[in-house]
Amino acid sequence: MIFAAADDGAEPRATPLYAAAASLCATNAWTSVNGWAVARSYTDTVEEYEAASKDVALVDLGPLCRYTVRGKEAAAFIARLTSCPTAEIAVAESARGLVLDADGFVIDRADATRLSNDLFLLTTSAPIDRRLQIAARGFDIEIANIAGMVGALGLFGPKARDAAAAAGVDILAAEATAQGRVRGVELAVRPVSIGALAGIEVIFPAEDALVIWERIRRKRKLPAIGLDALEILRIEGGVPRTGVDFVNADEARSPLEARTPDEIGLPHLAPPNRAWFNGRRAMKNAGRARRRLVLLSVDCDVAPAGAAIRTRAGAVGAVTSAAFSPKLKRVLCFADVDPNAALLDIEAVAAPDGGRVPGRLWETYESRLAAAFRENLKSATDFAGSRV
Amino acid sequence: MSETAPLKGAKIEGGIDAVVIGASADAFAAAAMLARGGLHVVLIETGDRPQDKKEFSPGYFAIPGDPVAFSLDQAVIDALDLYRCGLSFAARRLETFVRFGDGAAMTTPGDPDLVVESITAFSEADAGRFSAFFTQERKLAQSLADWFSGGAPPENRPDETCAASLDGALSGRFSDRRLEDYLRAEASLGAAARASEPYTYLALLRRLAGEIAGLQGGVAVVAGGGRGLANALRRAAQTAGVSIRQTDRVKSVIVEWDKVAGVSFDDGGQLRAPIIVSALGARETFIDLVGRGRLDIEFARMLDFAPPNVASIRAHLALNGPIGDALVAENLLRRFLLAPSAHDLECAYLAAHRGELKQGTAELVFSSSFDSALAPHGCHVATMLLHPVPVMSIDDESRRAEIESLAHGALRAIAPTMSAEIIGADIEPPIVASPPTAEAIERRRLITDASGLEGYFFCGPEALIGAGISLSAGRRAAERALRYFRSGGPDG
Repeated sequence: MIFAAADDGAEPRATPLYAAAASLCATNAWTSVNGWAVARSYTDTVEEYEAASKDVALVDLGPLCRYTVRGKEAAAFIARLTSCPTAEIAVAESARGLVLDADGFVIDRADATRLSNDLFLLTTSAPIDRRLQIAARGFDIEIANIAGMVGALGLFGPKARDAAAAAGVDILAAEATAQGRVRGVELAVRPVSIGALAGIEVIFPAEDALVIWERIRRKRKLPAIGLDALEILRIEGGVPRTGVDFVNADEARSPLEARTPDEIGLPHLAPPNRAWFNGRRAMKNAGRARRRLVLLSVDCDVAPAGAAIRTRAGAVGAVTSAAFSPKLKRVLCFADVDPNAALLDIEAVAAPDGGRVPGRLWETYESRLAAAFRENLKSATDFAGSRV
Repeated sequence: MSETAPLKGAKIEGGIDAVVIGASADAFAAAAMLARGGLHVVLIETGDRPQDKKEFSPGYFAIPGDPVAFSLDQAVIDALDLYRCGLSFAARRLETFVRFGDGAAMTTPGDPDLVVESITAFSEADAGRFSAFFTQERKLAQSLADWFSGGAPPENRPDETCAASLDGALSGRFSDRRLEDYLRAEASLGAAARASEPYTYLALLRRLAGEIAGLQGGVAVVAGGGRGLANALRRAAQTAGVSIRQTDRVKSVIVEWDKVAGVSFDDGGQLRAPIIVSALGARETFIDLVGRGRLDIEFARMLDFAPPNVASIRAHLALNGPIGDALVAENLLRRFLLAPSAHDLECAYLAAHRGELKQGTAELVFSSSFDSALAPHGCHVATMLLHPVPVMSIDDESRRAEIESLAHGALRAIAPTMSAEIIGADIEPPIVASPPTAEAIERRRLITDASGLEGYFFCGPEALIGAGISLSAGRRAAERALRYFRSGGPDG
């Protein structure tokens, strides 16, 4: 549930929740994501971050790209287009994965929710309409781009479920997606997360956006959080962002710019031993990683976006995105580094005058998953290689 | 042991190293080369088979397919010892009699090394220029020959040559424009793109790079036509131990994980093999037999390309007496080429794109001169390739009449004073023209290399560059399959 890079569109469109969000946006700081207006900050970034970390905060998830895929081959289609194991999930369950090109390079993250036997909701951070059109040829399916036709409101934080329940929209059964009509409004509610921060997403018809917004804020005046606070949460969770930490393979100017799942630290989202998906063969046959996206903790107060990363061996990479974590009291940054470099004695060139600050690798929920996955894959390969 | 038997029964057979699917010359070449490499090979003969000669008018016979060959792969002939298997040429190094749009005529010798002498006789002023140009182009063509036949691109491939248009490369070369018309007609035969379009110049180089049994650049007539070559290849395959089976349809290719594991049939039977070579069309090979669900999206999309809407049509004409035209009749054991002006050829292409028929270039062989059994004594069968024509159905009577009329016109243009009457005609279905050479080479590379299915090799029509039978695609597929087999591919 991560937004793509801001596209600085000149005239961004209004999401269904724009009017409501604008009424809370005291800073009036806006940007554009996928051509939709997104508040960078509503009041104060740190306050917004604290609210989401410790209580609950609202996020307008309208700028995400959403598609419905309907038809008897919908599961097979999504399993081909993405690495989401849609053939294995039951109704109401969700699966996350990656969209890869035929060369095994990452285009985007994706998650798929099975709404019924032959209906899926596919969510991506950037548009993949053209790819969907091409991939759909020969499949008995119907695809609709429903971004703008539905509103989506995220409630993130430890008390997200309580807040939803208080508003009467927590219709989740266990941890699965639920759909139903609540006081006259058709809703779909599903569990989502930003890194390790859990939340729920409420999806509803665009025309009911303000009704839902008011209902949720009637009991408690919940704060909303903007893109800057979300960026902190994302980096803390170790989730790379399309267009920021890696280049969408469809937009890469050369294969050197494109990245494999392993190179962006998400190999567990596209396991080569999973049933067939686009790019799997190329990924399986790819050599060793050429670069590696790692999360570093840097001992300074100012985010060194774009800074060089150095080790004893010299410069090994550069920071792709960074944020100061109020909780950790340090800067966390994603850095694209040489995979062969021994990441010891890391220094980030943090100041314009060349001043260096020490840093170290930072572990997150996502990086632990990746490490465990790599270890399992290595064990499996070792075992296979030991056959006589 | 070799056998030819109908395939029946729902049984699963193992112990096979390679299955080859198809009935084309390349399928037989690939199967025979694999068997010669020590593999146990089964060839599933399905798809379009070479047809026998047919009587299209009382006493007149047509051998379907291309009567002339100019690019047979010498490596296949040697490797399979095709001469011992019955391959023979009714004529090699044929002279080409060129009739220009203005009625002038020129004869070029069968040996390309002697072409300058005939040019001197035609246009003395251009002899030197033509000689220099021809020598240089043949040298370049030879350096690119391996690339055309499916090898790696040459390291010093001249990109400007690849991108050049035929018109651009020929324009202003000679004081007599008709020499340009001759080369343009040679390169345009079977080509979809107009000479003014980019990437068309390679077609001329590809034409010059042809090889007939070691006679570089020569034109030959295979005894028995396409059927004669097919019979020789069949014998070569049987001699090598290929088991040939006939069936109407292969249902699917079995893919287990990322490797092919055999083929299945409609009755539930399976042939299990770690190597499959398909000589069927690319769409049939991948979309129909494997399925889109197992192909990368970009690869499947590449297979959805629209074929060119320009074609060639082969017509067989029955002539009821001596030719009469002195220039033509003095030596019928020649190849005849109609070379219209650049403007007329351009107009023919534009008409073909609009779905209309207009006289363009034509290649003619009096096939009864090479095989006297094709026509009654003193009479002739003229086999003609008309190009360009629209892609169309020949079932429509009015369309057939139009094509016949076009063929009559081309024959009259080549032999204006012909006295024989045309008493019958047989029209073969249109042959879709070849895309520009550079585009075809790139597509071949993508199709043969990018499916990602281990053990699956392709030598279908899309693996061929330009018109005419070459056997290179079958050889290349067999070589790749043997490398895969020997590198432990099936078990690796």
